[in-house]
Amino acid sequence: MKKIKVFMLITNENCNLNCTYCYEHHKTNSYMNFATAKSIIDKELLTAKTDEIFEIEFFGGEPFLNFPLIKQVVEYVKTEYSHLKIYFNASTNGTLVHGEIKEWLIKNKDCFSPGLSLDGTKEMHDLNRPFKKDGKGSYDSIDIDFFKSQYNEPHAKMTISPATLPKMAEGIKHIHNLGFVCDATFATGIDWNNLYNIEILCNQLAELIDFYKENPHLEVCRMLNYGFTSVLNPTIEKFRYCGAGKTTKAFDCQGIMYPCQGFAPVTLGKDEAMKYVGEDFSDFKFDKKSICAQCKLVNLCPTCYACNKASTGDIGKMDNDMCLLNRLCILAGAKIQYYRLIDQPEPSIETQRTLKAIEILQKETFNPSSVYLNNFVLR
Amino acid sequence: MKNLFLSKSENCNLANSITALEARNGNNVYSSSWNLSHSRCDEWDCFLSCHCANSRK
Repeated sequence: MKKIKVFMLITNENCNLNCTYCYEHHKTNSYMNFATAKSIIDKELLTAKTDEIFEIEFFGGEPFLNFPLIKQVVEYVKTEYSHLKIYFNASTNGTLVHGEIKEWLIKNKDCFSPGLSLDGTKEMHDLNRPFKKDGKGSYDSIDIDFFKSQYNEPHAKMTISPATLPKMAEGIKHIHNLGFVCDATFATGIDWNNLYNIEILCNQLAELIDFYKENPHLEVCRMLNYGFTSVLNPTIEKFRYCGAGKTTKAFDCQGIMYPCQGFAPVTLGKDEAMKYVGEDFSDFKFDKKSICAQCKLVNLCPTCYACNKASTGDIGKMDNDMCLLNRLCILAGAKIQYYRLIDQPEPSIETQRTLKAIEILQKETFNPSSVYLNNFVLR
Repeated sequence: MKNLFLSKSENCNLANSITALEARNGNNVYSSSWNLSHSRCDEWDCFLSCHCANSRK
């Protein structure tokens, strides 16, 4: 697999929505100008090799609030770096993708894929993602058909909050019915500490197990779709939670580099973000006494440095409640995979490895002797 | 939470399948050396495989 290098340009630090779970707590009216963007691009691509693949991601706030910059950057890169493989992406709330922006996206769809955030049904989406100006829901302001019809295998990023958790399964089914692959994840950096949430989640997961069992042709949503065989790997000495700072970087409106958007000023505030300028976490080491260091599931855990930072203030410490939610999702995902693999007529070696991983997960996910359960009594 | 686990009969079925596959392919396919040589990505920290707030496939 070719390695993809990602760099994000935070085109502006503003947003027209006021999502309930947003982790960017320090929005401003700052906008990136083209000179700054050009300087970043020239520096990043100066030593690029022709066999490398790059992805330039436009981030915000809402990135399309600075549409003129996006246009200029794409034109510039296509002209100056036509010998390189470079793709563009923008994480967008979709509310500004109309008229001129839509026409421009159609013209550039060979290299530009907008990633739409869609939080489930209209009811769920409007609960999570109201407009800043009047508090009204934003679902009806998105041209969903556009995203669905213009792109192959379109993905929708669905964030689940405590408010929408009771309808999680319905929301995921809705995303599938619309024709999207569902990138469902839990909101991070918020309080999930509620016994009620665990009970609801278990019921929702049971519903999704049945749904995916009945629809084996569907790609399983992100939060239940793990590389289970990684549980067969030992935890390596140089463990990393994710590629922040190494395979990805984020540049703020002033052109300053951070490991990802989760460490930029728009998320952490200027003073705290300063500590992470240029950081790549290459010196990161587990505290050997930490839960994660002793967890047999750590290689497939979906947490990352930024999620840890947002929820516990420590890049190496995962939120206890999120740990529990993830374990439940791992179990549910393993059961879905079991149904998909167990009756295969000619199982491959990879199937054998996955089945073995599923067997291990049945015992390890809530192993009573694990450090996890010694420290956190299930409520 | 109980219904997220495999049932007793499903666990039994799983164990039988694994036994049959191990008889055919052996059990060295679980070793880390096998995994490294067959891994699709030689960097386990691949950004695109994580589930963080911004990741995608």
